[in-house]
Parts: sequence; structure tokens; C-alpha cells
Amino acid sequence: MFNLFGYGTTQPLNYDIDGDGILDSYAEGIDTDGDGIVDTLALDLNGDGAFDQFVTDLDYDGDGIADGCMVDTDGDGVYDAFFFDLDHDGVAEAAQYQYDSDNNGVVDMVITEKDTDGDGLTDEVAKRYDYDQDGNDDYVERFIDTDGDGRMDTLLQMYDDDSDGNLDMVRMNLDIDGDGVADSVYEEQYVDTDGDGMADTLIRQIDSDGDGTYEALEIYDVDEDTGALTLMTLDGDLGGNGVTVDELGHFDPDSADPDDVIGDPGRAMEQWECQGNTGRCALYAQKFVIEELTGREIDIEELADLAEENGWFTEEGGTPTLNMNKVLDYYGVDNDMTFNNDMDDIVRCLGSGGKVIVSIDADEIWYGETDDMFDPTDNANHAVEVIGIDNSDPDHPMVILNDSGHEGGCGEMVPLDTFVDAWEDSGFQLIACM
Amino acid sequence: MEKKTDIKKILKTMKTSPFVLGCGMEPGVGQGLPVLTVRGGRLCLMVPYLKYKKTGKPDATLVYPIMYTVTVTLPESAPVSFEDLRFESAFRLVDFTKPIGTFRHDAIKKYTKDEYFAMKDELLELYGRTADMLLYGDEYSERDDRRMRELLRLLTEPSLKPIYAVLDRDFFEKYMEA
Repeated sequence: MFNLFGYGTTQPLNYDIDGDGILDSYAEGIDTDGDGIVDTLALDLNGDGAFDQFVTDLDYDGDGIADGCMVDTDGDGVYDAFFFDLDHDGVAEAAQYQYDSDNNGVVDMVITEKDTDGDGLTDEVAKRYDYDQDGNDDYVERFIDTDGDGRMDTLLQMYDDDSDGNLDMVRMNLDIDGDGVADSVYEEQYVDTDGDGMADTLIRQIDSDGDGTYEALEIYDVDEDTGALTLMTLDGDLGGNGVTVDELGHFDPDSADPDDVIGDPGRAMEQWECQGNTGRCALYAQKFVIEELTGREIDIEELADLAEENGWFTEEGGTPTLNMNKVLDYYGVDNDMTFNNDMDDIVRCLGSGGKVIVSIDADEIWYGETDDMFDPTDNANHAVEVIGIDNSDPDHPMVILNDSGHEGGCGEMVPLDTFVDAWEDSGFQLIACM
Repeated sequence: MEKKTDIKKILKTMKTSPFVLGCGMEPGVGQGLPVLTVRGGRLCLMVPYLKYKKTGKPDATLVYPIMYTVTVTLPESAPVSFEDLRFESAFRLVDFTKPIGTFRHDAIKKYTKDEYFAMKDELLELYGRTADMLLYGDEYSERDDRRMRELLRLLTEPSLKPIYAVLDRDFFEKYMEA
């Protein structure tokens, strides 16, 4: 043994850099266990006369032949770096570094580097974090060079969300074009929905274009005994914001009798646009109204920048309730935001040539509610423009919306009762614009 | 029996209260089951806010972590505090953008929508009775206490319980812990 992997002999480490006759670095083989055999290389790297690093051969497989070495990098008596040369070619194919960030004697971060194809280049780096220092990894990230071009193109992130010792969420980020931004993201998350300590549900989400929004969602039942997966639901493409119900009718200005309709939905429908996979519903609703009332064409990107710069909106969080008329104010549109309104207030505003924005629980309109599909909370999650009310069937009046939330949202016809239920969740918020 | 502390009404009023609206919470968050807590020697109601996202399929509505809490005094419902848990050290490892469970969880799958909300209404009534007992010394039976525990253990999403345990350990241990 004692080939002092990575260091060769002791001689090259004995330097007198400034030529003053005193070694600036010094290495010496020592016998740490007193058996008469030198087993460790002790290093004085700063030339102060005290050893501050120790290197010892590592016999990983216990066959009596060194497979690398382990290093006590700070001389505290604990080996914290390990180099592996399992094929004994003199080149390390793996290295591991252990850190105790708070100096409490417990390792809380481990970094491993690997050269899996033996070309001398690192093609995988793994970082493991044990935040609560219970001996189990809480977060692991692996950077991988899958095509061997020397550039890490894949980042795997694994989380132990519930600190049970199992990594229950995995996110794979692929950066194909090497611009440092993920081009696609694939995420798997195991969830314990019944709190028995066993994962029973798997949620898979896919962001295929790297725009930050997951377009595909799959939910599986997980057999707690076998781990077998059973697909519960599969909306392969959520299409916009996850619209799966397309039974809603659309207002037809050409066939409608104007005497039966409150408002001017036909004209308003000309301004409609889809928001796509964004949280910009309130911005679009205000854009529609501004364009209808002023005749100005507004670029949504400029409007989003304006709203973000002023703190009215974020791409991640959308628009908080009280900020839903800020863009209207900016463009000088006279408006009044109130709560606890009723349908008469909408009728009055539309009837006098005004425009109406409301916030609603869109899920009640897009999905409806059944005995086995409902939301335990009542909350608004979407802003739309109410562009008219169609009374052509007096027994079944319909509310007409410009709903930017999905491709079929232009002139969307919603039964009055359904609309009122969805609107109630916002506390009957209404922005009346003139 | 006269209802002095009407928790359901307080929750409804909070939805459009200037204080809550002024907190600037993200759209789409709704009120979860509240917590009776004591702040500065005063009985208070802590209301968690979280997101549920429908997927269009039964029992596959995604449950997200509690993101905010608003605390008000009882019985006045005067605002005490607003907390954004994303900035709390106790929740530093929580990814608030990721779902942590699905609704309905197994224990409540046998209940219809109407049955679920009937139980939720009954639970909110019991919150009120508990508050009346603590505030005014009103009558409160062992049966009330037992029923409140039963309903809270049943209706609270299992995946949310660790968060409730951090929000108020006493309430969690008394009413939610199995």
C-alpha cells in the first residue's frame, strides 16, 4: 500500500518558493498507528512548521490494494475528501468532498464528482444536502453531461419534502442548447395524501418548451405495497389554463336580436385575445376595456412590463385583487371597484354603455362541480370582462364573457346561475368602467 | 341557542375586508380551516390561505401548501397580523409552487359535496361554541369537544397537518393529531 494516490512521492511537495532556505511547503510520510509502517502523508502547506493536511491510502474494496486516497483537508483529524481510482490507472474517476457548514461535527453537504466514461473529464457532479442533519438527504442535485461534450446539459433535482428519508420529488431540467436555461422540465412528485407515511399518489408534470408552465399533467394512484401505478386522470394537454369543458356556447352577433341583449357583445368580441399559459387574466380584461373605450391598440407585453414595474402584477403570482384596476387608472379610464354587488349592478353598467370586469372562480365555469369534484374553499382565481347578457330565452338567461383564459373564451355564454355562483367567490367584486 | 361568535360570518366578512384585500395575496387562494389561537392573552382566529387547483377529474384536485395566514381577534374580528409563510424560516424548505396532496383524500371520499359542506358548517359552528365558552364561559359539553376533534381530524387534509402543527402546536395537538 501507500502509493499516495494523486501526490506521487513526497519530494515534489517540498518547495522553497522564495529561496530563503526555508521550505514553504513540506511533506513527510508518518506512521499514525505505530506499527512501524508509514501509512499517511502529512503536509505542511503553508510552511509554518505544523502539519495542516493528511493523506491516507483508501482501500475501498478491502483487497489490500489502494483504490485511491482520503484527505483530511483542514487537519482536524477527520477525512473530508475522498478520491477513487478503482481501475488503478492512476486517474481518479470519482471524488467526494464532505462539508460541515456549521462546524458542529455533522456532515451536512456532500459533493461528488464522477468521470463515468474515463475520458478524464468530469461528467457528473452531485450535491447532497442534509439540512436538518438527521443523516438523510433533504435535497440532492445532480448535474450531468449526458453527451460527453464537456458541458452539463441535465440537472436532476430531488427533494425529500416530508423529511421521511425518501426523496419524493424529482425534477429533471434539460438544457439542450446550452444557454443555461432549461429547455424542458419533467417533474415527478410522490405524495402521501392520507398521511399514513406511505406515498399513495404520483403527480407528473411536463413543461416541454421550458416556458415555466407545465402543459401536461398526469396523476397516478400508487399501490402502497407493490408501488404499481394506476393512471387516475390524464389531461395530456391542459390547453391554455387546463380547460377541459368545451360545452359552453358562444354569442353570435349576426343571429342575435339586439332587443334581447344588454350591452354590445359583438363589438367587444373584436378585442378578445387568449392569454395562453400566463397569469395575465386581469391585464387582458383591462386591455379589452381600454381598447373598447378609447379605440387605442395596446401591446400586452408593454402592459405587462408596466404592471410589473409598478408592482401591480407578477408573472408568477398574477394580479392581487386591489390591483385589478391599476392599468385602467394609468390609461385614464374612469372606473369604480366595489364588492358585494349583484346582477342589477352589472345590468345597469352595461345598459348605460359602460364596461364591466369581474373576478370569478373560473373552475366553476370551466369544470363545473359534482359530488366527487369540488373545491373545499371558495375563492376567485380569474378575471374576465362581462360583455353582455342574453335574454333571448327568458327562462335561461346567459351571461356573455370575454374570457382570456382559454381558446374558446371569446363571447363565452355562461348560464346566469353558474355565473353568479362563480362570481360570488370573489365577494361579488365588480369594476365598472365608463 | 343564540349564536354569539359566528365564525362562518366572520370568514365571509374577511373575504372583502380592507385589511385582507390590502394584504395583496395572490389570486386563487382561499380560506382553509381556521385555528383558534391566543395572542397576547386574547383569543384570536388564525385563518390560513391556500390554493386548490382543479384538474377536471374527480378526486384529483391539487392541494397546495398554506401560503398565508391572517389573524383576527375574537369576537371583534379586528386584524392582528398577516403572515406570508414563504418568508418564514420554519417553512424555508417548502416549495409553495408544488402541490402536496390531492382532494378528496381517502377518509372523505365517501361523502358527497353536500355532506362535506354540512360537516364543514357543523365544524364552524363548533368553533363558534368553543369561542363562546372561552370568551363568555358559555356551556360547552364534552360531546362538543369530542365532535370538534372528530371533524377536524376528518376534514383537514393530511398533507396540510404538518403545516398546522407549525402554525399552532397547541391547537394541532388538541384537535388534529391522531
